[in-house]
Amino acid sequence: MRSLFGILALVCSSCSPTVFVVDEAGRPIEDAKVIPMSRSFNWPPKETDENGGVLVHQDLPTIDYLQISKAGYRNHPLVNFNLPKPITVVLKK
Amino acid sequence: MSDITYLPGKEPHEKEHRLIFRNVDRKGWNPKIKTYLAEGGYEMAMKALKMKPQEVIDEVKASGLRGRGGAGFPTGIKWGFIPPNNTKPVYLICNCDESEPGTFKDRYIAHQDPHQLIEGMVISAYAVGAHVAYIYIREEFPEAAIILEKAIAEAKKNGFLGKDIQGSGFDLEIYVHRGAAAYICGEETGLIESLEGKRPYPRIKPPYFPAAIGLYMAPTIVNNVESLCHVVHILRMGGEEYIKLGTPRNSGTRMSVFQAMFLRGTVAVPITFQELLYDMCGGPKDGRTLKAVIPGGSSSKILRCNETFQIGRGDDAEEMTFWQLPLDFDTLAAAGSMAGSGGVIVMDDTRRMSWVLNNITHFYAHESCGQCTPCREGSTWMKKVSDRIEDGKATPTDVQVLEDIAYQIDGKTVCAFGEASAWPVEAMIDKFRDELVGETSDDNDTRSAERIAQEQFLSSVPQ
Ligand SMILES: Cc1cc2nc3c(=O)[nH]c(=O)nc-3n(C[C@H](O)[C@H](O)[C@H](O)COP(=O)(O)O)c2cc1C
Ligand code: SF4
Repeated sequence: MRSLFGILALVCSSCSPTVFVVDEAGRPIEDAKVIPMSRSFNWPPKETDENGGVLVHQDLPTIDYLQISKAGYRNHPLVNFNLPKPITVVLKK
Repeated sequence: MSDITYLPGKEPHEKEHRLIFRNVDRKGWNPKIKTYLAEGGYEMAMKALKMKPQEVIDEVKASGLRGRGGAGFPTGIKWGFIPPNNTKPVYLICNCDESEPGTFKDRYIAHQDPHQLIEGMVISAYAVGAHVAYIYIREEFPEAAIILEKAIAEAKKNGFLGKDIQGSGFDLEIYVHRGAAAYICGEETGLIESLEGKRPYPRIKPPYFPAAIGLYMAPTIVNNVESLCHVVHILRMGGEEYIKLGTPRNSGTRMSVFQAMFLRGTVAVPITFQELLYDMCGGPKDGRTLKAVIPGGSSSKILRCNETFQIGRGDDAEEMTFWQLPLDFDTLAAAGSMAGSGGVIVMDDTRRMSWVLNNITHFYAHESCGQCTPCREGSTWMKKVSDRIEDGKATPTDVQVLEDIAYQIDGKTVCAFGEASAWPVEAMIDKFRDELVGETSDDNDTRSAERIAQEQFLSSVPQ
């Protein structure tokens, strides 16, 4: 039974967002563009949901960075994807 | 050609016209002279030795052959530059340094059809009056060097090299010289310095045009492996027929090698990018689109696959999409790039351009010979700035800085390496500025660790 809970917890954690994008006041930013990147490849862009969250799994080749942008906000430096999850990124106007 | 069969999986595409690569990956073929002679090998050398040297030069001139080493200079015209009143020995050098990133065509010839090259060299040496010729082969081709040495020994044993070749009265010795493992050894004057046993610092032109002042300060013709092989086919077909394989200013076939999608062949110019990348190479992987192509080795300017170009001038100007561009010298030059060494590098939409840029700048920073300041310093700075962009530590101004550095190198150096290192950077920024700037941020701190420490120290000192 305990192992079932363990598996359930693992499944739930693997489908919850790993990245949150917020503004300087901490409000979620919807539809921010998130591009997972390795040193040499770009993955297809993803967009944040209404909670500013997006699910990005580690992949092969290894994802090293996230490029996060939204029109009207300043470019954010590339985000190190190897930080503990979830990662919260603040976009500035 | 129909009776020729190739190894499984190595069959040419129906659109390929194999001239120089006829025997590459061929079933039952080996690099021995016996195999080569069984198919009429060295017959063109014998034909040439019965002609007058000037007649051979005229045939090559008539063929419109343009050098396949990168610059596309007309071979027959180059041969004609040897001073008419010359009293010094003339040398022929085969440039088999093949170190342009993305290019690996000459290696196939050296490995699989060395006698085609030797025959081309016999004809060319006879035409220009050289009795000593060198094959300068890159250090990283050790096996090819051994194969070529064996082939030279065979040719000598069979009377196609050495004294009084086949009773013609013409003498020729060919020596294989292993290169110094540097890209700059492929630049013809750097190559000559290296062959003389020195550090391969390119010589300034003028006055050191090899055809006038080359090896040991004597007239020297430097030609690429593929260019020399074409000479055999020009003699067989005649210059006029050879032109028909391509167009008058872009005659013959052209060997292209591909990275990303793989194909080796001699493609009769003018084949278009559409035919080449989709019909012959099968297009991108499922779900992906092609993003950019570097058409002639890393020194050529990158082209976007969604670009349109104005080709030609005035009333003859024609609008062409990238896909309609034929891969010939003139069209690619009109599109702002070059056919270069024939190494086509293809990138799909997953490729990160900052990484491509960084890869290229690392290569040139490592390979600059260091003789002139704009190239030595500029290539290193370009590497440092592109490191920052790729690491996500750059500011938008860095992209501008990088572009400025490239334009400071361009046209201000001893040899064409300067342009070769600057052009890819200029073009990459021109074509993919948004993508590069998108990976930068004003919030990044580009100060070095030393600068930060210095500023901290200075601010801690009471005023
Ligand atoms: C930096 C640099 C590297 C070069 N590397 C090569 C090379 O590896 N092989 C080659 O054939 N030509 C190379 N070239 C071109 C040669 O200088 C020369 O133009 C060529 O060998 C002439 O042969 P072709 O007339 O048959 O093309 C290089 C040029 C530059 C500037
Ligand atoms: S341009 Fe570069 S490679 Fe050429 S001579 Fe100057 S420093 Fe050397």
